[in-house]
Amino acid sequence: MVKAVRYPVGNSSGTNKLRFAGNTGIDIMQFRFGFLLLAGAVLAALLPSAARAEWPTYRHDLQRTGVAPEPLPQGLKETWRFTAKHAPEPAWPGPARRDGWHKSDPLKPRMIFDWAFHITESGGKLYFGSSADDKLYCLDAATGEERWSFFAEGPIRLAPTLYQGKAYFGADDGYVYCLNAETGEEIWRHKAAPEDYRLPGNARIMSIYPVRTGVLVDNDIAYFCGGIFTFEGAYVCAVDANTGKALWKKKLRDSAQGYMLASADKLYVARGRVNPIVLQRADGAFLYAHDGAGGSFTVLVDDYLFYGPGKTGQIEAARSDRNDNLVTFQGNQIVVNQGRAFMQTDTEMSALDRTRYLKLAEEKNVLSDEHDQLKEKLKELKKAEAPTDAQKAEIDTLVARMEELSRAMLPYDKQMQECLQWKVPCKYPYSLIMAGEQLFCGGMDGVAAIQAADGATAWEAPVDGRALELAISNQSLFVSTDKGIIHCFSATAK
Amino acid sequence: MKHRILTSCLIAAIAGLALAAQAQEPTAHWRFNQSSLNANQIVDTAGKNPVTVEGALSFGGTAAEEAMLVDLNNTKLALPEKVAEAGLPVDALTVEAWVAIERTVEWGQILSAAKIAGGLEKGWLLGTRQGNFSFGLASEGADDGDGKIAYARDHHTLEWGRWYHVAGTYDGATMRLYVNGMLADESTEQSGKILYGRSVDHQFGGGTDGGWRGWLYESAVFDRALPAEEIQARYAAKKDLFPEALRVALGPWVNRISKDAIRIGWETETPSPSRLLFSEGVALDREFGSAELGTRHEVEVTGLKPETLYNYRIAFNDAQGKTQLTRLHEFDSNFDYTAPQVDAKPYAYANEAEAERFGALATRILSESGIRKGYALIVGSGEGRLAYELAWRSELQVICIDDDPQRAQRVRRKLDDANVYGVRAQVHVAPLDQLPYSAIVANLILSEDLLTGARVPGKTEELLRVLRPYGGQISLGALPDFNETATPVPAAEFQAWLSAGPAMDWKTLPGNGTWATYTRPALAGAGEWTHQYGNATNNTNSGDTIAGGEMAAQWFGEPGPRPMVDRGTRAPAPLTANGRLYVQGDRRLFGMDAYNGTILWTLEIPDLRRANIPRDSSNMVVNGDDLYVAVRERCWVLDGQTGALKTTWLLPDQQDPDAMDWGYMASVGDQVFGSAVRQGGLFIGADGEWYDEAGEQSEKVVSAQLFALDRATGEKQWTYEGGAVINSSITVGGDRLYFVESRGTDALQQEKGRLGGELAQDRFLVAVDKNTGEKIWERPYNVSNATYVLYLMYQDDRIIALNSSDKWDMYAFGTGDGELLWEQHYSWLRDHHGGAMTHPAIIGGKIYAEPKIIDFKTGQVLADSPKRDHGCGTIAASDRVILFRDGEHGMWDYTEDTRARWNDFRPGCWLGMLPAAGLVLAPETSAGCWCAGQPMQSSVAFAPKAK
Repeated sequence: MVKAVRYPVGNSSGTNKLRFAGNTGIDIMQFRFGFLLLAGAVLAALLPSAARAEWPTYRHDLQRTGVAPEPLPQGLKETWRFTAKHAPEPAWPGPARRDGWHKSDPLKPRMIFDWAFHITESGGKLYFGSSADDKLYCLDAATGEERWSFFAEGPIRLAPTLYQGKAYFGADDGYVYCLNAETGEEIWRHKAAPEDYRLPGNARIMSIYPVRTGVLVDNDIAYFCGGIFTFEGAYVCAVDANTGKALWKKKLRDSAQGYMLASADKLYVARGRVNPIVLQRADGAFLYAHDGAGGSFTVLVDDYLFYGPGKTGQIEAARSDRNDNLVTFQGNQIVVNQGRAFMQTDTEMSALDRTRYLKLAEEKNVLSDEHDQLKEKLKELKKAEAPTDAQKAEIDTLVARMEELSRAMLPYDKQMQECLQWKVPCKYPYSLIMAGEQLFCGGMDGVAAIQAADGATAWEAPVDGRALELAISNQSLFVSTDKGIIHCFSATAK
Repeated sequence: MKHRILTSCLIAAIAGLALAAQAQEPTAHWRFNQSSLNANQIVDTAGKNPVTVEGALSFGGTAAEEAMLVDLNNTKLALPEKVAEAGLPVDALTVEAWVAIERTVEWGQILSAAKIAGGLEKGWLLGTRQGNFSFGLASEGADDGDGKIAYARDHHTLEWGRWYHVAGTYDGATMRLYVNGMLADESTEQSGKILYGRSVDHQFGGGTDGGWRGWLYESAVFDRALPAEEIQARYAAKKDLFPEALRVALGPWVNRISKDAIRIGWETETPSPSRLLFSEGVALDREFGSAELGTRHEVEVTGLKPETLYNYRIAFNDAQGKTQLTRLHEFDSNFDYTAPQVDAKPYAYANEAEAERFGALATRILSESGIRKGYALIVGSGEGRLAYELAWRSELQVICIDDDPQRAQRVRRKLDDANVYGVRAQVHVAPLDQLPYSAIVANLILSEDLLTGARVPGKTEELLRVLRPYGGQISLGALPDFNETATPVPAAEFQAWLSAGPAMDWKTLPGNGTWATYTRPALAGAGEWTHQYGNATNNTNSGDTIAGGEMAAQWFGEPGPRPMVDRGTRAPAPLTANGRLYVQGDRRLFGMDAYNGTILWTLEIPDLRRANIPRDSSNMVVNGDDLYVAVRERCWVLDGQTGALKTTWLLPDQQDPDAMDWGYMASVGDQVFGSAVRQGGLFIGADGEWYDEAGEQSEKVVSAQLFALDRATGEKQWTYEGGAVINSSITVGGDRLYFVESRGTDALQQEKGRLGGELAQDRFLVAVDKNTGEKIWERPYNVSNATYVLYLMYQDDRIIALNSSDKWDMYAFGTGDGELLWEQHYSWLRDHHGGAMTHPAIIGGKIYAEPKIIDFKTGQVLADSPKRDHGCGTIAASDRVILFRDGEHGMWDYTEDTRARWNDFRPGCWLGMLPAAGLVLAPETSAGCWCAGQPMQSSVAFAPKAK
């Protein structure tokens, strides 16, 4: 049953205000940003709606950047809200309250892929799957009214991918579905599971091979994984996106939970609590697993993979061609846009010159790697009870070089600290995306826009529940909360 | 404890008169109330060191005047760090505080001026070590180069929420710790000036363990060591400000009744009004009165928010009619395992008469089967009417199975329109005679197709395959009123269908051959796990012959990590009997369906906690449908199916409820066995304590009394008092109880309910008649020491004893008179990660005692046990498999010599996996573990794959 409420234009329940940073004195820099914003908004408003950017897959693109291609207009007001019949039923509960052994708390949830309905949008229609009533929903993006729904045989936990008029999604029933995005009619379904074995799992009867990676579609190929138990086998599959016919299927030694990402030649697979793995895109061959503190949030930007939130809120950054992590940021989520990275912790938002920061980190790592290698070599040499003169000389050389490396590394910490552009208190810790020069972030019962230039809060509005998922499309901001409510904020009534 | 307090009061009163006029000149003094607050600082009324407060500030508490809540996870209380600037005492010291600690941590600091990092140990600190007050100090005289702190430690366990006056003194030669005016411990390890660095961590709270939670009323520092009389006087001067009574007679306990409501219950000593004070934070401004004048009180708290921490106290009248408050309890609303609530609407397309018929039938089925939770299969969905009526009238998850996709789609829409689809009812498309489900999973199997006359539901053998044992029910038939549009399945055809399958004890309605029920009995070959080590003989063997070979997941899900003990470290084992699984988390119990993981009930008991089980015994056993749980001085008897508190039994012969706790527990036949341990003896393990080392962590919990009760009435049958009975040794076998007791002077006189080094003294192996408590024989237990653990097991008229001190020492004694039959000695696997503590299992004629397998009859080493990866827990065995931590969940099927390793989950660090009920049952036990190698934290069960 649809419970959509359409608000008349200008009748917002939010504290909708777009302001330039610093009401009591606008400096030149801020004014310039404000002008750019305004110009962007005007430009966006002038664009024909057909040309407006979409949000066709989770966090907009196959790299899950969370960056919309165009800014949102000013004056966002709530234009409708959709209240699902049932709130989401997440697969997994939260973490323990405390790591008693390490005396560490609070711990972060690392299996956070389905705590709210995840939204995608294309062609003026908004889509999400429900973990509660097993339906894929299609709403009118302008009004929030339900257009159609489709039943799977198990919870749908991740967002559908919209591609060439079709909606692709997986479910806990072990199937991947392809529907006509306009009508909801089934085009094909593909069983990821080698057998139809269902059991009580996460308080439902479900397949032992659930599809919990979403479906990544690119170049007419749909990629997904089925199965979460390594002892039962999990599979990575590629099928023809038009027919559902299998192209290849590879058995994994890993549990696949969370969205997949893609680069030109690789697939990145989130693994719930642990770190992502990397597969060869051509055939699914396993390449390597990343190091780090784990988590199912992943973003791929240029040559770097960012993932977290780790044990207590850390985002790891790793070169996408290496398994070891390069650097660790404090944060729950991250948005990387061109040369900047924006980090969101429980209490703060910050901006970093990420190009310079990662360059410095790489340089430091080169020195650090050499230092570590020499240290190991030194340890071996020192095992000799009666070292030869040659060994003694080598030890001296190693020690000298290690001291040299240590000295060389010293300036880096300071230089890396200088990459911090701004840091501001922020009460919106749950979700983070970006459009134009604004960051949009979700918190408890609210959502806000933050100026990317200086961290100033530009706009705030209330929502019902924890704003866990955000999407920007069709000149609107969509906010999905843990209560199963989707809010639409637009500049004008649709 | 009470005795000690009264004595200290008397002495203090006398001392107080003598010393009341003596000048007291603290160098620092802080009173933690709002009037002492200056901006964000608590003023120092005696000196120059105000306390800077960062973070949350709350005032209140149970003292006559307000105190400050200290939650050191959220609050920082800092003092100047430069020693010179702070003016810290150098030659002598007294540090005192009035404090009520609501939650201890492994190392807690009340007030410290210390530097502890790596090998560096300087300064002093007044605080707690696990459940005891302690006072540490470093001096120049004991400086080993980077300082060395010595500790004085009270051996009485502090009571959470009770007010204490704690003081540490140092006079240049002796450190003394006083608790409530009484000398608790002293040390002469230090001498000379107090050793500081240039700066110290000077603060209230702090330390690497995070913070304790509690109340600070007042604290002071002196630059001289106050004599005992002065300490006593200071205690006496203010003790009347602080209440003594903290406990209601029974409880509290908490039942979750819906997503936003709980029921909190408790009992008072005498019939009297009582109130629950409840809130987020500590304002406790929501009050729920128990209007009736009785001893049992229950109130419902509604409007709870998700994922929120609440606090509560109970206000009650003591025996003198004076109103008292309990300690501050915490309720975490994350703990919600109730079924999703649905706002059910009338079923679409059903007319009133039809709805009434289906509703009445659903009610009857629910009532007659007694099944209201778990999974119901409707094989042949009909139009989904029965599914709808069952779903909203119960907490069942209803699964309709139909082989017609169009009809399945139609039924889904109808159930969705009725608001129950997904969260409470589903429709699956599958052949009726080839159901896609794991075996032995369904609680209830019905058929709407048969009911409405269309067809029989597949094959009875397939229904039997998926039906849960221990009471799972098939209830099928065609009733005249329901056959509106189709020709009913003829009675003869129905009977033929029933008979065509495997032999099943169908019950048919008298005079009407078209309705039949079948209730599946116990699973032949399935073992039970009723006690910590399987059963009361401690042989760690369920006798299960089913679980093993190639296994598949049977179910997975809640409970997850949050309610569990961190890493399951040395925690009580789960239990299983009659198809149910009982799991003890951190101060909460779960009753579950062993075959599908349905959480039948939960019960939160703030006083329920037992740790360091290798040096003690579990606090939980099951016998039939009754679960027995030791909580402080009582045994709670719970209904296994509902979790309802049926009754409680007090320790026999104990006058002071604060003096003794219920320790050991077993139940065999019609008896329940228990023991009394001095209060403070039990390990509580409030903060991830590891209990892996020698020393105080390996002290053995001992009982002053053993006893037996009639299981039906709770009446005492006998008591036994000899020496200090080592709880980990108590074994029930045949008609006897066997145990090791120590009768050394130290053992008998020691007050703390634990034995450490004294354990080696005057030990006896004792056999008593389990029906009378009469001693049958005893023999000196003059064997090796047992620094780490001491276990006894019984089987086939033998007692197997296992000591570990610097290696394993195993002994076999005959049960005739305790004669030593053989002994065997072998090396540990390791002296850490449980390697010196593993509890053995007796399997057939072999003793599986890592790292060896030993012949039960001769004691000869037969082989090395199979190696396993990273481990920290012990093993659990059946007549087919041995389970252990093998990095992850691991299993060795020794009948087939095959290994299984379930890589997705990390087991806990004692006994958390059971090979019983025909399954491998593995409740979540990793909890706070970072565990980067395991992708999931979940309870899970495995069953043999169908051949």
